[in-house]
This record gives sequence, structure tokens and C-alpha cells, in this order.
Amino acid sequence: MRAAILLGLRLAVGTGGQRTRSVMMVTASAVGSMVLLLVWGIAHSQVGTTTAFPSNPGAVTLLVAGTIGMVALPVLVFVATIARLSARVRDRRLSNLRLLGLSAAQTRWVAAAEVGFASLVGVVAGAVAFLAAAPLVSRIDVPGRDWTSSSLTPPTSAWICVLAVLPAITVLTAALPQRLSSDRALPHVRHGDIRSVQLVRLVPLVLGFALCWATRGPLLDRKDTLPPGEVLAILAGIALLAIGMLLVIPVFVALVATLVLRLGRGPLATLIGRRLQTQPAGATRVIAALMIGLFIVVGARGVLVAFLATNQYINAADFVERAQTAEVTASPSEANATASVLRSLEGVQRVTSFPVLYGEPVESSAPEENMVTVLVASCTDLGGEDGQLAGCSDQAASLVGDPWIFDSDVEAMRVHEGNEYEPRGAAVVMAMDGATTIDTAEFERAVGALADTPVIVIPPDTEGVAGLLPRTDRLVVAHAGPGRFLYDRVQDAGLRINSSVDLENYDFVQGMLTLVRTLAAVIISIGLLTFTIAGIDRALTRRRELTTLRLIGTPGRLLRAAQWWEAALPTVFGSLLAIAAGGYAGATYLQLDDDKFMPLTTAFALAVVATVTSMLLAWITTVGTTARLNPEHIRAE
Amino acid sequence: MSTAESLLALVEPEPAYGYTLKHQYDRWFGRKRPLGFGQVYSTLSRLERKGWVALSQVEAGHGPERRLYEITVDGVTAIDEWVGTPQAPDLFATSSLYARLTVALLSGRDANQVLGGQRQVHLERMRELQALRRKATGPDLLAVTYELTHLDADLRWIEQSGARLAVVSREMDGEVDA
Amino acid sequence: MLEACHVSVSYGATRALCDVSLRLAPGASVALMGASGSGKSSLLHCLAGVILPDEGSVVVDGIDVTNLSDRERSRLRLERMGVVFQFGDLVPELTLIENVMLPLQLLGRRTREARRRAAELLGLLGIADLGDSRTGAVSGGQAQRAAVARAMVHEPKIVLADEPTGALDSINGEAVLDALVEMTKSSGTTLLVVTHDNVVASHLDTLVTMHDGAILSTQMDTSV
Repeated sequence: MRAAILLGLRLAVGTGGQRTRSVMMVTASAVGSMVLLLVWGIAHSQVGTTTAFPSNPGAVTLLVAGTIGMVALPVLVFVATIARLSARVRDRRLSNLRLLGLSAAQTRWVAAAEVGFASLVGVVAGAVAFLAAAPLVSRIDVPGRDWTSSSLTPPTSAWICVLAVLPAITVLTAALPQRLSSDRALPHVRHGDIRSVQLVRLVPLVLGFALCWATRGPLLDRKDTLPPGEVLAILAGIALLAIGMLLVIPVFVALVATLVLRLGRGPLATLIGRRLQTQPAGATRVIAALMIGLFIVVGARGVLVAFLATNQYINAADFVERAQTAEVTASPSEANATASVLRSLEGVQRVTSFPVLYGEPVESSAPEENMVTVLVASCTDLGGEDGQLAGCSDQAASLVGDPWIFDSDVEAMRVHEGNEYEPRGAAVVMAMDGATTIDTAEFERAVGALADTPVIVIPPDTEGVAGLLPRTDRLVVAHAGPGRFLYDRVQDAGLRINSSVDLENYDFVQGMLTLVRTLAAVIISIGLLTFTIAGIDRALTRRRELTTLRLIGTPGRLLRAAQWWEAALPTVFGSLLAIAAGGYAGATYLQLDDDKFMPLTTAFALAVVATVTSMLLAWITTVGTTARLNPEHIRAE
Repeated sequence: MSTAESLLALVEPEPAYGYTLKHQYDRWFGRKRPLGFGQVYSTLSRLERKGWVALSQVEAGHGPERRLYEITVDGVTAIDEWVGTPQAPDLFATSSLYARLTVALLSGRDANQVLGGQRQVHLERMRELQALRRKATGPDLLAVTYELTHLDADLRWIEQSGARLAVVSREMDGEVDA
Repeated sequence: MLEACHVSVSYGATRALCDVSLRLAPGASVALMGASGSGKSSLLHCLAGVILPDEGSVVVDGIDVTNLSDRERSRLRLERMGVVFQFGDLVPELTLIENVMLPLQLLGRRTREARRRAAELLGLLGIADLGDSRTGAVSGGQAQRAAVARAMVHEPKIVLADEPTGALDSINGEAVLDALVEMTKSSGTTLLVVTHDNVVASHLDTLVTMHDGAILSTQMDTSV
């Protein structure tokens, strides 16, 4: 065993080609481990330590684990692809070792040592690089995010995973898949045999699709009430979709190959068809990381959409990003004083103060259930600096948005003081004809309060209203620019705030957003890197045949075209499949209909971008194909 | 056979007794098969009859050992021709190539020409044989390919020796001086 | 037909060819021999238009290739020459017959005709039934015969071979050479074989020996 390991180490640095591969292995492992540690650290610190969901810590852990997994998978695929570079050449060499008399186990040790040593070195280098880079990353100023207080240290489990599991997987990938029995070693020494593709590869994809389809339900926020069996089924369906889409690629490639050979005429078709026919699984290896990346990026929208769609988040986002508002209720005598206190606070841009009444439709049988808030204000008051508020009327009532109370025609409203639980005092009846509608968003922007409540606005000079005003409470709202300081300052001034904003939820979701965007960039980059490296490597191992083809006079553009088609066909198909699968998985996770999850135009745009990018990537792999015909290559190896 | 010519070549540098000649022959040409004295004297007689050697001195005494032989002008010419003429590549004749090359190296004649000339002749014969082979069948085919293979072996030796000539020549000079 | 005029080639500081001139008449059958480093491969590459000489010119079928671009030389090679190299280097993903058809298809012939002609050549070389096999499934000798077929399928004026039987045993090597010589003779194709093997050289009419980048001797078979 020791001799086998030493041989493996020797092979790792033997010729120039082997040294290059070893260097690439070191680099890939370093990049992979650094990325993993970084993402784990970010996820842990930004999301894992959130206090936003005190009642459901398990869900958060799952979330963190999920995001780590999302990055780990393409990283592993990337590193595994590098480990299998020049597979043909190295398998051949290992088979030759078998012919020399090494046992299967010894050959595996050789292969393991050849790759494992480089991987270990790379992983350690990556860990060191991470430690050096972490303080720098934490200094990056992302707007709205407060990094500096958090250190990006990943937990111990991350270190174990990276330092032990990553090299272990590379070693397994390098050492395992060989056909290492000596009776098969001989035919393996010559290359170019077709592997037949089994249709059983279609099963996981079909199963996954079926599972996802079966578990789809109506649009409800059911995540905390789903029975665990169904959750498991959804997750299993998604996992099967991911695995299935990878397994399906060789089937597609084989199919296309057969079609091309049957329908095509000429040397280009023959070359493309035969090349696709041989080693169809090789195409998967090249684009696997990219497909996983696309799957995750598209599917992860599902996770985000759920959080982004909650009212808490929408309000909090509006608060932090557009304009802060704080509501204070003041009695008629205190209103002015309160308003001036608020105005004096630093950062407060304006203060609005409106009397608030209540009303219900005259014909209503259950007044408490049909109460609306009535704001007494003129249109210029509402409009503030912008002049009149659009849709507002100074002659009649204005409905804010489309309050459900008015679904059936209401002819008149009874308006009075008091609160929603106790109508009291005198009431004024006002007719509702000629009521205009104010846009909800504009109203909220103007008033900064009364969101999610049915509101109507009546002009101050409405008959009888003036009499109600002296005793009714005022709604005083402080408006400030975007930020997070308002509530603290208002409370410091001794005033009690009536409204609330869930900043913790906001922070959590922002953390998620950052994470997902980072993930997307990282994953897609890794996918692209894997693709490019594997593609170029494949072109290089073909150099001898390409040289001969050039020698007999094959024009360079034909060889380039063959290489391009061979790379582009699986990649375009794979990326489209990944996007479709990812979209379906994400929609299933959200229990949404597909077109709510991703409208057709977005899907189409994404598909077009993916196709164009795939074609571009395929073009990159043709780079190695048509260098000048070099006489050295004619006698190489 | 090249025994006669080889012996003659050994007389060329200076007159020699039969006894000396036999030992020299064994050293340069007869490593595995030493020459018998009887054969030495009968060959010398033949050479004398041909006019290639002449008796330079006869010492009084018993037996043929006392005869000193020297080479004639005709003899030198004979050696020139023998060394310089490539041997016909007949299969079953014992090859004189080795002997001719050795003589050339010993006597300062053009060893490259010996090799090159023989190579040319061999190659021509090989071409003829290839033409024969294409039509040959059965035992004829076996005979042709046998000859081809042996000619190839000779040619390989010719190439190797050609590459080694300078070194071998120096080594032989060393041995001669010793 | 094929001529190198005062050709010199250097790789960096090494002089591979030094003022070499060689003329091959149409239908000539020439062996180019020499030890490693004698320049015979460099001369072959020059004649094939793979490399451009630093000095001198190479004329193929009346056309001076030293003035042509890489693409034009490639085209010329396709139209006028066939090449057989030591390791054949057939495209492993294609079947034997697809490999043989390739030059014809590149020249624009129709697939059916190309296939027919390729099958004909495979038959002449004794491997007709291996047309649909891949290189991995046939022996070295059979693959090399397919390489010979590929070199001749488009009826080139010149066939250049570099150690075509170097990787074969003597019986297979003999068979491949016989096929090569016979086919070129019957079609009047010029054949140039680079070799270090005397037996191989004996198949051909003319022998050109090289040494240290120059031609040492040329020996014509006078009986031919």
C-alpha cells in the first residue's frame, strides 16, 4: 500500500501535464474550501443567529443547512470535475498498471494518492486564505447591512466538513469509477467505444415531477401546518427533480446523436453525431455544476418570495427604504404640543395631524363589524408639499382604495366620534354619492398611517362634522426619510407610538436576500468555471486526432463547428431543463401556481439568456481546437 | 572463403613467418576457430603459386617454420580488390564482410566504403527479393523471406558498425600498438 | 510533381535541414531513410506543407506552397495529398468506414458515393467487413490499413507516409506496405515513405539517405 501511495504521489508531479492537473486540483480545492467557509460563515452570522423567529428555531437551522447545501453541491461537483479531468488518459494509465500486475486495490490507492494529496494541500490553502480574507469581507459596506458587528467565523462543523469531507469526496471521485478488473483492462486501453444509455435514467425526473405535482395545493400559507409526511414528500420531489435532470442529460444526448446521424449529411454531422454518441455521460459531467446552479437560483426565488410577500416585510421595507413614519395619538388639547415636539426631533421632515372619526353604513345591521375609519382632511392638507392629493375630492367623501365595506352600494354613512369598539356621541349622516377614490399607496405616502384599515376621507367642511371635531382624538404622524432612527427618537421624547414595524423580520429577510444573491453569483460562477475548464480539457485530450484531421486537410472551421455543436447542444438543453425544473421545484415549495411564481415573460427572458450564454460558453471551448498545426503534435505521446 | 585473403593481408605490413601469421590470424579473424598450422602452410603455398606472396628468405633448418614470406605487388593489388569489392549477397556463402572490414581498419583502407558498398548491393538484392516475394508461394516464399530477413540483419550490423567506426578504429590501433 | 528546392529549416538553434533539394517525379516510389535527427521528418513536413521552410521553396504539382496561407496549404493537402502516419490517428468516435470517407466528404462528394468508394478501398485492403467497427474494436494492423485507405480514397497525386508500419508486427507491416505500394503503383501516385527500416525501404524503388540535415545519397533501382 505504501508503494502504491508513493507511486500515486510520484504520478501527481511527473510530467508537465500531470503537474498542471495537480496545480488545478490544488486551486480548485482551495477555491472550493474558501467559498464554502465564507458562505457558511455568512449564512451562520447573518441568518443563523437571527432572532426573528423565536418560536421556530428548527426552521432557521433547516434554512441555514439548505443554503449551505445549495452552495456545497456545485462546489463538490466543481472539485469532482477537476478530479476527473483528463479521465480518459488517466484511466488508461491505471488500466496499464493493472496489466503490469497491480491489484485493483493498489490501483485505487495510486489514483487516490495522486489526487488526494493535491486536494488536501488545496483545502488547507483555502482555509488559510479564508482566514486572511474574512476580516476584509466583513469590512465590505453593503448598504442597509450592518456587517461590522458580526465576525464571519463559521462554526466548528464547517471546518470539519471542509477539511475532511471535501478531500474525501475528491479522493472517492478519483479512485472509484474505474473499471479496474484486469480482464477488462485490455479493451479499455483502446478508446472510442460507445456506452449504451439506459432509459431507466428517466425515472427519477418523472418521479420527482409526479411527486411535486401531487403535493401541490391551493395558495395558503400552510408552512407551519403542513403534516411532516407531506413536507417530506415535497422535499423528496424537489430532490428527485434535481437529481433527475442531471441523469436525463445522457438520454437526451444519445437521442440527439441518433437524430443527427440519421438526418445529417456530410462530415460535420458525422463528427458531431459520433462524438455525442460516445461517452454521452461525459456531457453531464461538464455542465452538472452549471445546471445545479441554475436550478438553485431559479428555485430559491421560491424561498424569497414567501418572505418578501408578507405584509410585515413590505411595511418594514417601506419604512427603512423609503420613509419612516411613527403614529402618535393625541387628545385635542395635546395635539399641537405633540406635533411641535415631533417636529423638533432631528430627522423629522414633516408632521401631519388629522382628526379621526369613525363611521359605518347607515343600513348596516351590525355596526361594529362594518366600521371604517374616517379621516377629516382637505385635499391640500393631504397633499402637503405636492399640492392636492390625486383622487381626493373636496366636495364629497373619498374612499381610500377599495374598502370591502362598500362592495354593496352604500348610500349614506353615519359618522361619529369614539373608537371602533364604542361609537359614542353625536352622529352625522353624510351621503356617499359622488365619492371618489384615492389610491392606497398615495394615501399611505401622504398620511403615513392607517395601512390595512378601511379608510374614507371627508372634507372638513362637511355638514355637521365640525361639531364632532373638538372632542375627537388627533392622529399625529411624524414623517422622516429612510432610516431606522425614528422610533427610538420619538420614544426618547417621551411619546407613545401606536404603530409598529418589524425591523427584525426586515433584517432577517435582507440577510436572506444578500445570502441568496451571493449564492447565485457564487454558484453560477462555479458552474461556469467547471464548464469552461472541463470543456477546454476535453479539447486538449483530443489534440492528436485533431492534428491528424488537420493533416489530411480538414478545414479549421469545420473542427471548430463540430466542437461548438458538441458543446452547445447539451448545454442549451441542460440549462433550459435546469431552469424549468428549478422553477417547478420553487413553485411547488411555495405551493403556488406556476404563473404566479414566474410569469411567462420572465421565464422566456431567462430561457433566452440561458441559451445565448450556453452558446457563448460552447464557443469558448473551441479555443483550443484550431491552433496552428504544430509538427511536434504529430509525433506526440 | 576469405582465409587466404586474410592471411595475405596479414603479410602485407611486413614479411612474416608462418608461425607468426597463424597467431595473428587467430587474434584478428579466428576467435572461435583457430587456424591449424597445416592450413596455414597450404594456404601460403597456394598464395605463392598465385604470385601474391614470395619467399623472401629461407633459413637453413628443419621444417617449413623457417620460411619467411613477403607480399608481392600483385598481392597488394589482390587485397585492394578484395577489400573494395562488395561481396555478392549470396545467402549460403560465409560472409566475408566482417573480414574485409577488419582488414580495411587494420590496413588503413577506406572502411566506410566497404560498408557503404556492401549496403548498396544488399539493398538492391532486397528489392529484387521483394519483387520475387510478391509472386512466390510455398517453399519459395519461405526461402525468399529467409534471405530477406538475413540481409536485413546484415544491414543492421552495417549501420551499427558505421556509427561505431571511429571508436573501433581507435581501439584497434591501440591493440596493434600493444 | 513534388519538389523541395534548397530548403533549410531550423528549430531555434538546431538546424534540422540544410539546403536540401529533392525532386520526385510523378509515379515515383521513394524511401527516405536516416537515423533520428537526420532531418527526414522535417523534410516530410516541409513537403506536406505542414511547416514552411526558413529558406528555399516547395513546389507541389506546379504550385509553390511556400507562398500560400495555412488554410490554402491545408486545402492543397486535402486535394492533392494523402498522409499515413505511424499511429494512424483515426478519429476514435467514428467507424472505420466513416473515417475513410472523410476526405471525400470534405471535398464535397456526396455521402452515398463517398461511402461506396470507401467500402471499395476497405475491400481492396482486406477489411471490408470491419467498416462499421470502431478503432477500439479492431487490431493495430487493421486500423493502419484503414488509415492507408483514408490516404488513398480521394485519389491523391501524392501519398506521404511516416513510419506507416512502425507500430505493426512484421506480417501486418508487410501486408500494409504491399497494399500501399500496389495501390500507388497501379494509380500512378507518387509515394514517399519515411522510415528507418531497411525492409520497408526495400519495398520502394528509390532510396534517399539523409544524415545531419542533408541528403547523403540517392540510390535508384536501375532495373525499374
